[in-house]
Amino acid sequence: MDTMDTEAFTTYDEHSFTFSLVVASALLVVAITTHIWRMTSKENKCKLPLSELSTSETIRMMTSKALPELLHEQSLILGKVFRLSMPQWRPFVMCMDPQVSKEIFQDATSDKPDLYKVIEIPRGCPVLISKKTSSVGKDSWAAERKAFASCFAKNQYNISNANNQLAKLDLYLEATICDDDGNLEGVSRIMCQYTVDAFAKAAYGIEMNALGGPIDSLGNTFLVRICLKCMSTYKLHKCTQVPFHLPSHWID
Amino acid sequence: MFWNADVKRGNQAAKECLDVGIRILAEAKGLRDNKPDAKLGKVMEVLLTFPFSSEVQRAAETISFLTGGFDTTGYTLAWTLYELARHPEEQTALASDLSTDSQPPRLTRVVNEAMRLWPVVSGGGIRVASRDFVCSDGVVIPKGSDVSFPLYGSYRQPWIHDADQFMPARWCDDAPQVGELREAFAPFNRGRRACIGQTHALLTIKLTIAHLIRKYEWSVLVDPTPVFYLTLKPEGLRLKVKKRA
Repeated sequence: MDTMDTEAFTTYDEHSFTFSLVVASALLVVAITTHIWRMTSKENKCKLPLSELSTSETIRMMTSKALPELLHEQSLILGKVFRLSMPQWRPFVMCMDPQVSKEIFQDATSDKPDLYKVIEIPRGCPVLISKKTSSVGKDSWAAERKAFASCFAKNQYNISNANNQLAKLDLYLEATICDDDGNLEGVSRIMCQYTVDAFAKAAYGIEMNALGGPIDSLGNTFLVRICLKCMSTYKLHKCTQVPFHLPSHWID
Repeated sequence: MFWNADVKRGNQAAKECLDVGIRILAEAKGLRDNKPDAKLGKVMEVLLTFPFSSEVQRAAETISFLTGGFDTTGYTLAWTLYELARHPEEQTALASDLSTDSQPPRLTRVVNEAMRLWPVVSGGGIRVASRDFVCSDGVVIPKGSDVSFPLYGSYRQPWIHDADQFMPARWCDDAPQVGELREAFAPFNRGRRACIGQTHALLTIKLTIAHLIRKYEWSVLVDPTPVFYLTLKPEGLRLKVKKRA
């Protein structure tokens, strides 16, 4: 009896497993076929121009320092909206049509892709610019956005604080005029140091002393760490770059 | 990839960025507790009281506001100064307007034009299309696509007259393309995920440019190389500054 029961169950299990496998395979085939049909159907394939760049060339382009100009060049060849070959299942579309970009951005149901699940700079922690602010449980993005939005309203802008920061910038520029005949080197760095100080004072109420401050000031410590983070990622990207034809003022 | 030295260095730098966030929060708490007359910023007040899921998230949000707010504004200031230094006639006209009006219309036109030519957030953001979208030329973006909106290319399309030229006058109320340009122009993005600090950033940019043009004269010593990594940077830019007579 025991043996018969065991055999019966074994046969049932085998049939059940085979049946499940067949159903699952069939569903998978239907899903893949539907997706391929949908993305490459005559209508869509004819209408959405596809870049001639291969997937590896596209990756090289996407990690290039000259990416904005390279995408612009592609748009001059293919038009305002086109597809790039990326190693992903969904189509990757570049849209430079202002009307459509407005429509998509203002469409509340068109959200950020999963790429934005993790933002690297705050060590992978979900923040307001990631897709969600909670990796587990109920997402608090909307509540967080609402709480912070009013802090950046026009009536919260402190003009006297802004004038104090401009006075610090004046001191820096006047020293440059005296000492270096007004030759201002590293304008981008100076402006970033100024904005770190201005933002920290206005938004947080603290002094970060990046502009004209010591290298170990809070502001300069932050800037050095950000640069290190960006440089390490850039070095990773560099091996994938390709020497596209570039305008003379773009060096890759 | 965890064995790669650059990945290790990057992770270490990200951890240290988070440490800076913790230090900023500690300093703000110290000010609040020890100097009751010290005024914290509004953002910090919310950062200290919002019910985040953890203290790490509080520090991460502190550092992400700073990260999102410094180079975007800083590079826009640098690009705007560069274009004004390259175009002395625009610089002189703006200085002249600023002598009688602290926020003249020309200031908005200059800043808009610099942001059109050199949009610092050139990547422009990515969204997943929630339905099929039909473009002006009939092209269909299928539902489920990842759609990217590169701003640099969008603002240099052939439909814009002399798109590569710095021409603030194109933003005048009676300019021929001003309607289409204003419609297309969204350097801070649109919708519910538009830049949260855009008002603050624009005020800082306008106030700073107005101050720097009113007080100083600028000329170009070395042209920059546009370098893109998340933001578009004028690398190597050198300007000459002297006090305005």
